[in-house]
Amino acid sequence: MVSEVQSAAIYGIDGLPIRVEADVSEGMPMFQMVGYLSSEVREARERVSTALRNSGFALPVKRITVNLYPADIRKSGTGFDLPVALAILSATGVIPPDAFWDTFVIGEVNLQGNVCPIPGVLPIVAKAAELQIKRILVPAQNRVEAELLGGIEVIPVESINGAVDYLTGDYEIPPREAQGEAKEASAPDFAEIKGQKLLKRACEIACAGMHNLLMIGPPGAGKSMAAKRLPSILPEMDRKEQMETSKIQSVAGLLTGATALSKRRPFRSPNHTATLQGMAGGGTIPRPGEISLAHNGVLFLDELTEFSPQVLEVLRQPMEDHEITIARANGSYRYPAKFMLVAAMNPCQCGYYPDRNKCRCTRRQLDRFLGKISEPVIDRMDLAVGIKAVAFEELSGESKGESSAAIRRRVEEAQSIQRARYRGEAFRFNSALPAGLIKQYVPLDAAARDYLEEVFFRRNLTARGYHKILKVARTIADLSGKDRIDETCLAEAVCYRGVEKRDWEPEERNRD
Amino acid sequence: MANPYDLWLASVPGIGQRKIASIISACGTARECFYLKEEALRYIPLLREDDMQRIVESRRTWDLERQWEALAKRNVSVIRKGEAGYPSRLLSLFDAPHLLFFRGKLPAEEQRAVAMVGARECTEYGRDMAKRIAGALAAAGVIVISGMARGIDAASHAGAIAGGGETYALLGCGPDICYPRSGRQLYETLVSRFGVLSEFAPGTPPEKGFFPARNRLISALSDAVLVIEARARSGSLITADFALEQGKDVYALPGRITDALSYGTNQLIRQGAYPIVSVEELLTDLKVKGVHAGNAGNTKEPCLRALPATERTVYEALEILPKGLEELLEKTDLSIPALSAALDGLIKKHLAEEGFPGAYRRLY
Repeated sequence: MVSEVQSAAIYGIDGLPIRVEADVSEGMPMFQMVGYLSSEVREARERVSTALRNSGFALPVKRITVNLYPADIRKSGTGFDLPVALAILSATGVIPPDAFWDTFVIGEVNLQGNVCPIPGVLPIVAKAAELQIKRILVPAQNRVEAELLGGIEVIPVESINGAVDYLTGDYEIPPREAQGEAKEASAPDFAEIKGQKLLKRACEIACAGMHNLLMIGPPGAGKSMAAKRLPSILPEMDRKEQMETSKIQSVAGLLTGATALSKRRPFRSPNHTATLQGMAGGGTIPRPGEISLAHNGVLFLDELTEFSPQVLEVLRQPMEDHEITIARANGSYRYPAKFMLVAAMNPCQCGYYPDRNKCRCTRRQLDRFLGKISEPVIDRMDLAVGIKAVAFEELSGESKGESSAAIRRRVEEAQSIQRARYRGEAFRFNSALPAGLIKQYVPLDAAARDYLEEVFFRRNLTARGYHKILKVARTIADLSGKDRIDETCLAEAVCYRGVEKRDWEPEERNRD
Repeated sequence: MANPYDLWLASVPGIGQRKIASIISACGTARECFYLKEEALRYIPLLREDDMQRIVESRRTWDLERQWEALAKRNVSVIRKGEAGYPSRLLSLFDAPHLLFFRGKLPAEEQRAVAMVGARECTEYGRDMAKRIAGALAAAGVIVISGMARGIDAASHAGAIAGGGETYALLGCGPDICYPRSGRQLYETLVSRFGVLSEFAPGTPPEKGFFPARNRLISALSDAVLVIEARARSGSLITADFALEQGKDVYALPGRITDALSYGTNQLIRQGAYPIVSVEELLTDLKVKGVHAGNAGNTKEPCLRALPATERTVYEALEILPKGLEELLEKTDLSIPALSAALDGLIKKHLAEEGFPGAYRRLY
């Protein structure tokens, strides 16, 4: 007799329905599993047979065949243990076949027959809901995550016996443990940063136009402190963004313990020893990398110069396409990766250049240090801001800065202006404004044009630097609700102009 | 006239000026030494066993003709001690170079010459002052002598050129080698308009030990030595020591006692060097007449009253050393666009410059 249980696998960050079929028939007693399985799925045979025995179900001395359909998709993960066990029990008549109608089953089992949690529950629940499945059996410990979405009945099961009891109609779903009102730990707030007017303003502009931001300054000046607060001034995620981000987190196993879909944008700060795979995602069992975990949020690269060039190189394609495709022998996976890049670096090896009292770096050391900067990454930094070392008194001072909420209101306003302006275009933010459309979208008045021309020559800007200033000026104007760009916007934009290596060479510059 | 044998002698590795002098006084000429019997080398004072071996070895492999011709090919001139035209200021040295190699020309004997030395990794203050002082000296007809290194040296040469005067460099390598390589443009200017001098044979790469030797020539060729910026135990202080040994006046540019790069110069002043208080007074002290005190005066204040109020506020907040925007915002209490516009105004009037991305300094 053939039975069938619906389950799902994770493919990229989406659930993919998989049907688990079990057949128990006469023949040489054996238990085999087929369907293009990776080794951890194939091992389910041992786990499931032992778990069933320990749950009080003897495997019939018959020929048992389990197939995972469709058979041309590589199946990995341990979420198939429970559906396999239940399919066998159904095939042997313990569970009536109609019990599985409109039902998804996922979960890992251990040898005692208990159901253990698995990563990636949320995308599977989302897929089930999308397919209008009525209920889903999930490991009890994944219950909270599975219930984040709503719109589908979540059946938490503790053990194989529990699942059987439920499916044979002899089970009551335990009430969800009283959870405190879903409360997010208070996020770090810009009000906690004293002084640093320029830095805060640069952060505001960066968020308003989704510009990438580079912070340059001595150690301990508060670069990471500011970066960590960026999500707090970005607009909250809408429902769609929340789902995308949470799915990625679920696949990466980071969603355990969440009690509600978070509206707060993710902040990822990979260490500079990050590997290519850790950054981009991948692995034999593909997992999203840091750039995908930062999807819809902020990717912060502290000590930019310490990252390996290959790792930085891999950022380029996702920065254009907002997703990354990882090709593997058994298929290619796409992970979304739309992030705001924020980087911090010291101006030199010791961190204190150009303060010659502290910095004793020689020209050659400076050159070697700057040689480590990845040109393509620097090119994509619209804003660069120098950070001043903070004296101790300032750190412990009383003066309270503006709160993140107040800054966020301005950012939201500026973003809605951009959305309206770029309706019908392929991009949404000033940072993505292509060079060809700058003239159209960044109108300058006569005085501003003269001013910019002068700045261009006097500061010896490159064409790229010129465009960066215009894009940033556009955002500054949006922040103050101006339609045309005037001199004030440009004057401010000049303060954040991106850096180039030659800026470090005063002697060379002075010579001409 | 220097001959191919002199060139050979100057090129034997490990044989310095003192040993060359000893060989010349024992043999008479380099030619005699070249053909001297191996056993006879023994009787030359100062020569050790390994020196003799090196001499013998190099005699065997040295191609007199070809090496001599190579000099001309490299555009290197050579002058021998005792020959007419050999800088007389060097003659007082007990270890005056037997051969002086140079590209371009030699500094004129009758003109006053001043050496300017200082740190490679200098501050904007040092670079500025070096330029200004060198400019004023050059304009007053004083030759500026330095070592072509980065930082103070390069700024001194550049200042002298800008001031319309003459400037010469002494190298710690062969005169045909541009060291540091980044100074290529300066090197070409020096070679084509003035001169690059060295006691090291063409093709000799720079070596750590060569630089102190080079410093003694910088000081010897000059009437006074100016130390612009130096840390404690800086190489520039070696030049000052040579100057004292050679009986030259030493001037030092004072700085704030909080600045590491002024420690060496302040220390020199403490030990009796003349402080450089102003360019005019320096010129007076050196007994030269300043003709170009215009932009050289560091005591002159620009007319601040003519500036708009914000530019004036910003100018007053600026210093010689670059200050970050954040610091200026705090000091001036201006808005970001107002500060930026004021800085632009000051830059346009050549009262300020951007010393480093996002860091500004005043120019006068």
